[in-house]
Amino acid sequence: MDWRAVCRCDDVTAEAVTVVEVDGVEVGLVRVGGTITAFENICPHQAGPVCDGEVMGPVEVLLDSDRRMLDERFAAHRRILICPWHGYSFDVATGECITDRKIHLRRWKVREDDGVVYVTVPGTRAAHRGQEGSNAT
Amino acid sequence: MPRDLLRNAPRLVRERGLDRTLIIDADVHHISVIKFLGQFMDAPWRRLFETLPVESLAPTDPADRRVAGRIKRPPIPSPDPTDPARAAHALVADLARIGVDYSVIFADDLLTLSLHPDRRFQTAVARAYARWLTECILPQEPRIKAMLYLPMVDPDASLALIHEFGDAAGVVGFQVNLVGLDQFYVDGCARVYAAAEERGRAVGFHSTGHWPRFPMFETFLGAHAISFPAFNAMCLINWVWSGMCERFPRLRCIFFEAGAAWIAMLMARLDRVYRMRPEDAPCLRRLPSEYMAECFYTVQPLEQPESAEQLRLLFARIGSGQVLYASDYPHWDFDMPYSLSRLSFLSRAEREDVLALNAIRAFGLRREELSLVEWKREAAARAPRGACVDENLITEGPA
Repeated sequence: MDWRAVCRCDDVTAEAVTVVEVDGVEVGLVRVGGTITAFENICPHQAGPVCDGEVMGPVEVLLDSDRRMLDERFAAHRRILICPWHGYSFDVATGECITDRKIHLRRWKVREDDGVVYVTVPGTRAAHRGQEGSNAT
Repeated sequence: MPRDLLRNAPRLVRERGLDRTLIIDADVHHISVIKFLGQFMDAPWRRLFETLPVESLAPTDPADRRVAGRIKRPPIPSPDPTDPARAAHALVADLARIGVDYSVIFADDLLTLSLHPDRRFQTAVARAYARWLTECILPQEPRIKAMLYLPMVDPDASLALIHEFGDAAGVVGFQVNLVGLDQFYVDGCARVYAAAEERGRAVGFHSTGHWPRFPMFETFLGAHAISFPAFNAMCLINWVWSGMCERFPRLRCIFFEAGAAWIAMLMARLDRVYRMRPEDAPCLRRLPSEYMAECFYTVQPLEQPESAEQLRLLFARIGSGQVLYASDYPHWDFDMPYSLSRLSFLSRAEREDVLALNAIRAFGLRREELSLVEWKREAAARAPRGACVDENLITEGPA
């Protein structure tokens, strides 16, 4: 397994994506709970720089006992990453698109060691493209 | 410093094999020009434009198209009175990076101009826009083509605008903006359509998702979802029933920005009712769908059904020879050119038709005058002999 040191652990937060470059490939890092997830910075919708987008809770609706809308708020239990090109939104814990479960962000393996974040380099760009067809609209 | 939001695009263009393929974008919007147009107006109107705030010039829409800042675009410079073409050059540079070689532009804030209650105002803005384009933009930027705004509430003014500006270099047609039209002016505007036909210029029909026109919806999403296909369908229904395709058989009509699904629906529906009541449409000699199959359509934002087979059926019904690629950049629901490369049911030749050849026909362009943008030309020159995709008309490579 080819691990590459990409940044310090302190550089990665839950509030925004930290984008690093590994062998010419951009990878976004975001903290989810106690761990870090890593996604390739390409939206599976139309290839926008998804990791440049905002991280926030999805909007949820509160209903009263008569099922009337009481209020809207940001969900506290879930965080999403929103592609700045078209607004496609992905669960930062899984990379799954919240409006189309057929598509998901490409995840990279990541580990923390002695205050440093490492990611793996999962093969060539050609190998990436080979998997893209089934992951695209 | 903000990161470059388009940095993924050139690589995707190369990977999809579009870096040697001519791409004409039929619908690009350069935003917020209306305040800038005052200097191209005669004195009384210029005075008005100098004194009114911009929100009083263009009909407003409270819709939030950037979803509270979630959707982002590279900054586009505002029009600069000392360098009128600067914003247009910047737009062309952005579009070149997504692979577009030629752009047919239309001003964003003129999409709602037909809602303005003062027909003199509409006419003054239309003429100023035509002056700005033909004096400052089109002569300086050959990669931009333009459709001029027609103030169809005033057919005489529209006709005069066609006579004055319709033959200018880079003008490829005229736009009718549907969102403000309560009545579709057929006979009253026949001379306007005749003038466009005589000049070989296209007429485009363009809507927008103007929320206040759809007060029955509590959300912008509702208005946006139906506004484009609804206005296009209403216009096309009038166009077909009035026999405009019979009256102006050489006039090329383009319907913009409503996806593909509405076209097949309307073809089926109009054919059904026409078979029962042909007396209501005495100009027609064929089925409505046959006339519709001769119109051109930009199908952005293209629907994304579960199965590509559903799109294949839509394209088969419309005819891939009538579909024009359009990005609608920089709007929030724009389509990249390489998104079409995923339509596996299109042959390479059909895909290249959609990306450029159909637009060449629709806008009356000359293929021999068109070339790839610089970075694509360099990519083509670097390719080994014989590596160009094929001998197709629109694919360039080393001789």
